[in-house]
Amino acid sequence: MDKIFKELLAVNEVRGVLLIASNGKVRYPKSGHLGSLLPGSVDWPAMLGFLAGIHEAEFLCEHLRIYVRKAEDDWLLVLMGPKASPAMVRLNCDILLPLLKERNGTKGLLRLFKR
Amino acid sequence: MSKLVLIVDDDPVVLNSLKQGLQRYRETFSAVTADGGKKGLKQLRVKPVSLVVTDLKMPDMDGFDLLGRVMESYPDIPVIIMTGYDTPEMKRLAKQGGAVGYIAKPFLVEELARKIITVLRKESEGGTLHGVSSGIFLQLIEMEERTCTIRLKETRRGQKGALFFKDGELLDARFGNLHGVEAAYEIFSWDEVSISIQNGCPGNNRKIEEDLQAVLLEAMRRKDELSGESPMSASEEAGTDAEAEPDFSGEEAARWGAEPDLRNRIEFELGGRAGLQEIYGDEKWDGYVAAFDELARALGAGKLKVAFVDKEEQHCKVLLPHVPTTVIEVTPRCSRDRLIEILGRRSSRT
Repeated sequence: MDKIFKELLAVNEVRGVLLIASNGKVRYPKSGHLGSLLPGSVDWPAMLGFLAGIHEAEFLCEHLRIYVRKAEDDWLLVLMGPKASPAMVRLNCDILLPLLKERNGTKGLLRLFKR
Repeated sequence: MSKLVLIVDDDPVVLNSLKQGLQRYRETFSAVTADGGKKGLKQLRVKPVSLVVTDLKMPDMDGFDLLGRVMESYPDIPVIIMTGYDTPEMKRLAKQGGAVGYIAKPFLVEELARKIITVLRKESEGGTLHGVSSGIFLQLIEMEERTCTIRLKETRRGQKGALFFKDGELLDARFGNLHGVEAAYEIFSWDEVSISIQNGCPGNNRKIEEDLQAVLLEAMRRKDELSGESPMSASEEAGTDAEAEPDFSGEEAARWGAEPDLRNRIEFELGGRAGLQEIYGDEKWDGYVAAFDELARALGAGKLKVAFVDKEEQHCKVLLPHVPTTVIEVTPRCSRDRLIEILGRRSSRT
């Protein structure tokens, strides 16, 4: 999972990424230490009820910006600083979502052959 | 809406691998394939392709030849070159020929997808206008001496065309297989169009000698001949539009923050890119806004100022935390980042 999120996390001013399963379980990051992210203090099952039916959302807040994206059965949340490029974050999410979908499936024809 | 990307390569294994691999990105674009340059050109004639990805070494028509033909006949369609013969010279030639991207084999499908998505997104960076008359807008391009490529989609029938401006002068136009002034006459006869602007104009060949006003008037004359209606001059139209623009200096600016001014303010800042539909108060959203605010605070983001919600419906919603919640409905193609920024600024001031 770290590999999938590596490029997104490297985008300028991206402060953190959360992947929440449909049952409210935090799928990423797995470690208990999340710095300023405190997913434990969020009632995720209740929150996901409010996100139901939403394809993507963006919250501009006092200190940070939050990008929320439906990812199959999960929810991807990206926390950005005020100077982040939301377009770049969305672009990276477009790119990594198929990888997330495939994560538990077969790898498929990912590579091409040299001519 | 998913855009169409044409992949051209004479190697069926590569074509199949790419087609399968790129299917994962079908929400953003769909891939069609051609196993040679000539077949690729045939596809371009019949399909609304937004981007071409081509191999270089192919037997019937090589990638450079195809690139040249695309630049000549479809200069609004960007081309990415892929090759197994990666040399600085090859890269230079591809760039010189007008390619917007270059990828060396072997590569991961994701790498190509990233390049494709980046180019397709860049296409829309200049912004989009919906449901406007093209005449007034194009005269602004001329006045501002812009160098840009303008893609237009006729609202009712969905026909597409492109106009190429260099320093405000109309160089060329394309509608299907029509080029030059005939394509421009057709495009200018459209009443309601969606317009997207891309900075830059591929090629320098001037195919339209007449100035913009003359082309616009002739297009109207031809249209009137067909419809039997009396023409309205382009200058008359422009005059009407100029009078309608709100003044946001002085007292008007001081009133900023009052709800009735919200629509005017957004339209003033974003113009046609606002994609603004309706503004209303709706208590049904109060619970959502409270939940989003709670989430934001729990994640250390602070108080919620603006929420943008896309439910893949006809319109997206922008929510402002008031009681009842202020709901601003916009089209999915609105200038979203700018709108959020403007509303965020407003929220800090009120």
